[in-house]
Amino acid sequence: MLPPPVPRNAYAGLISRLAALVIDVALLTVTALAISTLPSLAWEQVFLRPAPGWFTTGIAVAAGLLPLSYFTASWWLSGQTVGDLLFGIAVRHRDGGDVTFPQSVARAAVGLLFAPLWMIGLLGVLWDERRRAWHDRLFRTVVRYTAPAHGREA
Amino acid sequence: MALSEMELGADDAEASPPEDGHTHPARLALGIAVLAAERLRPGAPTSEAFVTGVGLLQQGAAEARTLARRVMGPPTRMASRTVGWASGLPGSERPRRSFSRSRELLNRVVSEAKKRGEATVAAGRADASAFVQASVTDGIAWAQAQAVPQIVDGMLPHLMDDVVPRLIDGVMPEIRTRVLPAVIDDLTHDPRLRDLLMEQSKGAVGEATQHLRATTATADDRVESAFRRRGRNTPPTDRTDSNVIDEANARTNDR
Repeated sequence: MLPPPVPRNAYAGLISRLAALVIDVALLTVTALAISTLPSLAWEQVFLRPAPGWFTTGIAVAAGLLPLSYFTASWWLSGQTVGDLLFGIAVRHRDGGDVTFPQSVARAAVGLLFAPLWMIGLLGVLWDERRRAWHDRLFRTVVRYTAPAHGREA
Repeated sequence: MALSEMELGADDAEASPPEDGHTHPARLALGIAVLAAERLRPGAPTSEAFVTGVGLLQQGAAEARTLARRVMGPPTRMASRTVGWASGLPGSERPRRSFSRSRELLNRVVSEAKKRGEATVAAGRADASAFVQASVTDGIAWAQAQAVPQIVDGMLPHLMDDVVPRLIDGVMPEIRTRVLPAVIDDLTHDPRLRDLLMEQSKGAVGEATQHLRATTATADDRVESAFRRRGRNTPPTDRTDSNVIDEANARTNDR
């Protein structure tokens, strides 16, 4: 038996947001690991010598910037990361519009730089009327359900 | 025997079977003979000699049948022409008039016999057609109701125990080596089947995703409710963003 349908146009709660974050972290971990190791291995296989320093530094920088670019691009372009897409939630401006690029960059940078604080701030979802975390209040964003089908018109 | 009966049957003889359902046996036999002749010689009409003979027979005289043969046969025509030639000889006027009356009488008798024979043959043919059709229909109905079920019931155990296993054993290798690969090849290259599988896969994935989303949304509500009960906060709201946005806009405007 199916659980109650996803409320449409309602604010996403703590479990959905945490689950989406877990998916994103797992995806980024695997991708960053692949980026940081596979190019060096490929270099060694092709040139039969260890990768030079500039190359390993470059791919390390790319792997380091991957989370920031991933979250920024996802929130700016569609408001959804892969985890958000899976769980049917999206980041929106508090007035209902799309998240701007500065908003996306700032939200991603603060979240990555102050990850523990970010996680603690997520608890704000539990008592806020619009289920906003601390960073949502800071960057004037909200997170909503986007499920178009089976949606209960709240 | 048959002559008088046929005559009785031909009194109402028309080209259709009698409506009372009673068919004269002699006329029925005649019709069956006509049908058989038509089957043996498709497209050939019933000969005038036969028809005339039937008519003469119906008049009930074996002599008339002999007379009809003479009239219709070549010797008869030769004799008739000879008599005609002789009647033209000098001094033959009186016999000639007598011959003429005889010929007119004979022609009238033959003409009437021919008409009557045609009617009798047509009626007999119709009787025979109806009889054959009814017999075939009754036979098929009887076979369907009685014979075929009994035959099938009697043969079924033998078929299931002996024939079908042997058939399967004999055909299976051929099916495995030739038929199944062809069927699988056709199915794998069938765009309709691929579309069907694609749609089913999409449907299954979509349903699983909906289930996951609904489950996490329910968990959101439960966690929030538990937190609010423990903290004795206000009960959780299930308000749409539009309502909240309207209120937020109103607050902004108030400021």
